[in-house]
Amino acid sequence: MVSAAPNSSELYVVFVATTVFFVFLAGFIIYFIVLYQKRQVQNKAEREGLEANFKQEFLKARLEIQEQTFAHVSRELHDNINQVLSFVKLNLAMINNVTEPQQTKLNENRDLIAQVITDLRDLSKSLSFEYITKQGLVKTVEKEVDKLNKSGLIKAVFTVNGDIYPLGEQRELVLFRIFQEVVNNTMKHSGAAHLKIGLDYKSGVFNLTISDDGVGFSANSLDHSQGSGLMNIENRAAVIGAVSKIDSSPGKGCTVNVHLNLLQQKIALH
Amino acid sequence: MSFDEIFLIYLVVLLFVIISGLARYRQLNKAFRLLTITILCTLISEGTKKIYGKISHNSMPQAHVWAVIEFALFSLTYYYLINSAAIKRSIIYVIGGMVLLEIANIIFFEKLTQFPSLILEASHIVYVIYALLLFRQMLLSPAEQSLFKQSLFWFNLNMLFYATTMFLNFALLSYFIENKLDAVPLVYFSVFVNFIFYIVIGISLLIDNRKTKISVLNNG
Repeated sequence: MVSAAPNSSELYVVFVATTVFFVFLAGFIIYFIVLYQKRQVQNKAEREGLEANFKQEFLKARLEIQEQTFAHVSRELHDNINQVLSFVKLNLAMINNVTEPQQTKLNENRDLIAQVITDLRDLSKSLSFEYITKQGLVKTVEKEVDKLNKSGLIKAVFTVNGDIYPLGEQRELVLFRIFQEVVNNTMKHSGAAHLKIGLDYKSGVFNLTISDDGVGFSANSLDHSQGSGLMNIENRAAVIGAVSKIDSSPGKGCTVNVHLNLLQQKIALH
Repeated sequence: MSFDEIFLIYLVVLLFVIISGLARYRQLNKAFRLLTITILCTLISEGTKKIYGKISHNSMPQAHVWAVIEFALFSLTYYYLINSAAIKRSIIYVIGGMVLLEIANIIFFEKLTQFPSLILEASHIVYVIYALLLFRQMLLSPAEQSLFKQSLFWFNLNMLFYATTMFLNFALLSYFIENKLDAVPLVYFSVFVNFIFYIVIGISLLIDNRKTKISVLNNG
């Protein structure tokens, strides 16, 4: 290569142009990195939002299907099985010319059928969406508590604090289903002798608290069905925008609290 | 350090890049598999160019052919990286266009015995366009993975850096030669840029994984 004395002003231009080029390239790369990371955060937030929405919609759909099934079973119990049982009871009443011991047996069977009819009617009501929404949460829970006490399996105490106000059909139905799920779990697994159910109506804030004095559990020791039962409670609560809290430890019973902040939901809606 | 020694190190770097690409060949997506083959071809081309140069004292005919092949291979790599069907189609046309340009170049501008600077300059401009298009695609559908762990980012950044820097280098080189300035620093600079280019390609081949969910990749 030939070495010659460079023109200093031209070389200066070349030097500046090269520097500008590299500064521009570095600037572009930094700008891209910052923009990309911003997009990543934005995308992640959008994806999480979509996932949460999907989960909510999925849970709602699942609950709707469940409610439809309950309504169908409720109707079948009321319109079909109960009618058949009533007919059987009537037929039994019409049997004549029987001996004294046979009559006693017939009467016993009629009483049993009457009992089954009453139980099925109650079951049909507890499954029926229309019945629950028509009666309201307080009355429906009260009736269920009465049933529990009548069964003699557990002693249940029901308290209502504050001035009762409607929570909305959907919310009341979901809260009642949570109540049923908790009671079902208590009867199956806890071996509790006492059950306390409390509905707490404060201004804009509602609490459903169910506590028992059973064997309790630690979260790690739960089997699949128990775990999914508790998950059901959490999912149902999430559908109406409530927060559930399950507090239990071995030998210390279990307390389930469902907290519904209506004020917060109103603010979120606006 | 003599140019022969630098050339030997350059070949060793290429060899390492090829080994890392071949060792992870199954894990690589289609584009990066093709990139491995491109580097393998580069090694063969560089080696044979040297031998041919020693025999006939001019390796430029081979440089002309290799310039077009290299462009086609890098273009096909982008073909597999870019999602847009229209851009994919354009890439095929651009490869065809580059072949025609090379023919015109040999006939009208740079003979087979001359350095194919026109084709190389044109290639670098197209590489910059490819890189910008891929960056745009990355911005439109960002992946969950950290940007710095994405082989795609390193490869594309590398292409952008290489193409723009080499374009500048060629421009400065012709200016220096025209003004009879000492161009040796620029030659060293281009060697340095080449080393960086192939080392970063090696890194992107090492971190690429076709099983990683990169939303912008649709192939492999």
